[in-house]
Amino acid sequence: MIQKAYSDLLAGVPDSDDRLYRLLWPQLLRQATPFLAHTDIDPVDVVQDSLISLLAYFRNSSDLADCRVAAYASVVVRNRCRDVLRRKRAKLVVRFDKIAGTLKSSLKDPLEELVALENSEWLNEAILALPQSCRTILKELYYRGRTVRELAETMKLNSVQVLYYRRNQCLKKLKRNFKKSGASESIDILGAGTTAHLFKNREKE
Amino acid sequence: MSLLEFECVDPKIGEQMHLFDDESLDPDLRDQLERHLAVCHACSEGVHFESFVAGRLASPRGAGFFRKPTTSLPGYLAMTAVLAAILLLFLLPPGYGTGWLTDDREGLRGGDEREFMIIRPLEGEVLYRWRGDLRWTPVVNTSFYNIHVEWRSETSSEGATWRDQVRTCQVSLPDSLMREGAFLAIVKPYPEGLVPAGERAVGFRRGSLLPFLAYRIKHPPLASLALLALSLGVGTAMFYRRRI
Repeated sequence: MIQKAYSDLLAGVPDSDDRLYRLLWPQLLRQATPFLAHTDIDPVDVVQDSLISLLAYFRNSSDLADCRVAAYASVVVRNRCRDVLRRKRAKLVVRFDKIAGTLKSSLKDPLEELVALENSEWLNEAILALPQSCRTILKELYYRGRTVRELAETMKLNSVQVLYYRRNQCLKKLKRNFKKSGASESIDILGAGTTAHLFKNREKE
Repeated sequence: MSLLEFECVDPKIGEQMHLFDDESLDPDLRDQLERHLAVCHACSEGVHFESFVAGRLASPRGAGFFRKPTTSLPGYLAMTAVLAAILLLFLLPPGYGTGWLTDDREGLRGGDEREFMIIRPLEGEVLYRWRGDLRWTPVVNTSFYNIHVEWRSETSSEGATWRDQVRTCQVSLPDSLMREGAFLAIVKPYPEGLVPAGERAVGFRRGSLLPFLAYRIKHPPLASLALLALSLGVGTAMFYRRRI
């Protein structure tokens, strides 16, 4: 029934989105409730937000005809629950009262200043734990500002895609190291979960 | 995988996310990736992390992220001070002033009257590789000092006695006495009556390394103790400052 409602949505049948919403609702609520059981977060809100973004996504995704909608929606809801939990945890771990006196006074938000300070240290540790090849790639691309094409030529690679792939692998390793350093909540503070500003930057370029 | 680790909602598309920055990317695929990012927390986190890394590394201080953090000057000073304190612990005379660590607060130098006392060894001191030097403070108008040293083995009933008369304020014991065991040294200035109690005596031991180290740790010189406390204080302050 869910797949039928989804097909109808793709075909533009009226009220199909409402039907899909109602069909997915109980299943997704069952997914979210145990996740948020020991918190004061209402799973209904999380499921509702997830369904709204999902339906908007499905409407614009005609290329997802063979998508297993229920499984797809479950992952989205679980991720949103994780996101909410991480943000909640990130807020709890910052004992601002303890460190307020030691922060440099500036016009910046002290919390931002603290997070920036911690992130710099963790990033430094994470980079040093990377293999030399990864450090070279990151240094050339981000610090020296070389383009992927230039670096691929220097490294005598046949295609830039290889370098994109390697860079991605290095970033994954870096992220693992970064989280190991204690920065598991910091990525959330940086703004994971929202991509709007990335597209704005892209439009400017 | 941790419970809070995001899952990619569509790994087939997620695997191509590394091409997101490729300018020559097919517009349809780019559109697909952008739409995927809007619902996928896992990939969105990756992209955010990349922009965070790029931002940090592109800053003027970016090169610093590729260097090992150097120990600051106070850190070096604190480490040097700890080493110096440990060295001084064994080089300086034992801390007869640190009575709070010992039971024998008085009489460590053969008496509490400061005008005439044995400088080294101290009462109860344990010496390692001692060369037999005995030193005391000078007494005015003394013609000579009578020295009497008794040695007793701690493992057998063996013992020895040695006597001498010297004009200086120090004497070196003969090599025959340079053995492990308990010593009693008595110094008596002549003529008698120049100092109130007449003579000074100290008991000490010549032992192996372990009892020597134990004695030195129990009787640390004050300078070494102060240096150690200072360096540990600086080190602790730096550690907490770094953690904050």
